[in-house]
Amino acid sequence: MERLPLEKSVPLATNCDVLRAGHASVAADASVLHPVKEIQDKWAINAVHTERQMLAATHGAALPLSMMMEERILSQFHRLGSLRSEFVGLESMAGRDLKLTFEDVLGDPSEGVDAPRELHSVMEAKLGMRMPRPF
Amino acid sequence: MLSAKERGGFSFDNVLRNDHLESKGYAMPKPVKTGTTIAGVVFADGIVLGADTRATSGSTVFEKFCEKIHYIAPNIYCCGAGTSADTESSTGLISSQLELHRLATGRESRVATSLTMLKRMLFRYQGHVSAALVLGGVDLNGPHLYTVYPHGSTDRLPYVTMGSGSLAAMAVFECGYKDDMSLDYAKQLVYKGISAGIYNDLGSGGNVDLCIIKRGSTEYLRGYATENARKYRRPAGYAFAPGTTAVLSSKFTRPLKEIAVVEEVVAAEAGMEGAATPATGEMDTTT
Repeated sequence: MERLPLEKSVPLATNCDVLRAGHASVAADASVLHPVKEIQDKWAINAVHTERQMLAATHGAALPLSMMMEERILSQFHRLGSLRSEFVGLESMAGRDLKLTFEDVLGDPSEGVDAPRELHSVMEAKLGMRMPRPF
Repeated sequence: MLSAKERGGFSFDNVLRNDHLESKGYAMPKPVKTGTTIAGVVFADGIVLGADTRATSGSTVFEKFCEKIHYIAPNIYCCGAGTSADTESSTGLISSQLELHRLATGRESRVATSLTMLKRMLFRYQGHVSAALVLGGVDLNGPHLYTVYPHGSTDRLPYVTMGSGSLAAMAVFECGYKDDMSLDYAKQLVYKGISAGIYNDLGSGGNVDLCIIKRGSTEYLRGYATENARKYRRPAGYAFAPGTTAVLSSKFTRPLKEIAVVEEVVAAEAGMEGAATPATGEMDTTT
């Protein structure tokens, strides 16, 4: 097995914004904080994956592919950076607009105590723009 | 697509902190658990659900008259045992979702729909949402009665019991159940079952609540029987002489408002005005 260059084999901290995100901790990122957190983060993704597999088995691979394309298109309608996007089309396509789960009731980020991050700096980080270096 | 963080949900911000505090001997308070007797039977025209009204935390009774029969839909009700916050929030969630479903379809909710929603939600959380339920209702297919376990498994039976007093209640049902019971007999049977739980299980107590669901009508009988009513109260009341309770120490502090502040102005520094004018005023108006 060929050796990978270091930056590919070891996941270097992707978020270098230490002042905002704090120091990265490999131990904290690798361990499971709480089993319910695992369920909350992974369940919806796994459910979509299973449904796609089922659709591919029953209707052929083209159907999930075209649905994924549609999802991709719908996920591109969003607001800038730190502003919250509703993804109405995407939610309606996945049928989430007719469902109520604990995610809809608890910990709504729009009702959170954190002030929204400043739009300009979020967009700068997103587009990879940097302030010019000081002399 | 929205990430888990953007969607909200359960917050795990304090998990590490709480683990740390617990390891240092500061454990979190335990949630209120309803050591409970809940039950239901199918009779000729519908369903009778029953529940006791005690909520406990450990060996302490936290509530003597709590509601354990929750509304799901006009034709469906649900008794809850387990962690009381979990039963209330999960039945509330399913009730809201069924309301939304009724608005979308324009039809009466079916019991099977609410059952599927409940069991899918509970299975998703793998027993961490600790809600053990007795779900009963009457829809176009007739009366239905189910039990739902915290991990999402379900039973469909003509008479069911749940909670810590379920054994006592089930013993009564096994003895007295008949097919096609009359309403009066069914009410009496459920009352006896819940009563058996109240008297034989320490986690159950308080009163008996009943809920009768028939085609087109629902009757909620809160406090159908008061099993733990106070039997005797001293007619003359109690008069305790002063000093019955020992006073260990006492301290009297005068309110700040009563303290007058006197400002003295020395004549030499007062300048042109000459005379010293002592001003009295309340604390909150001094300079």
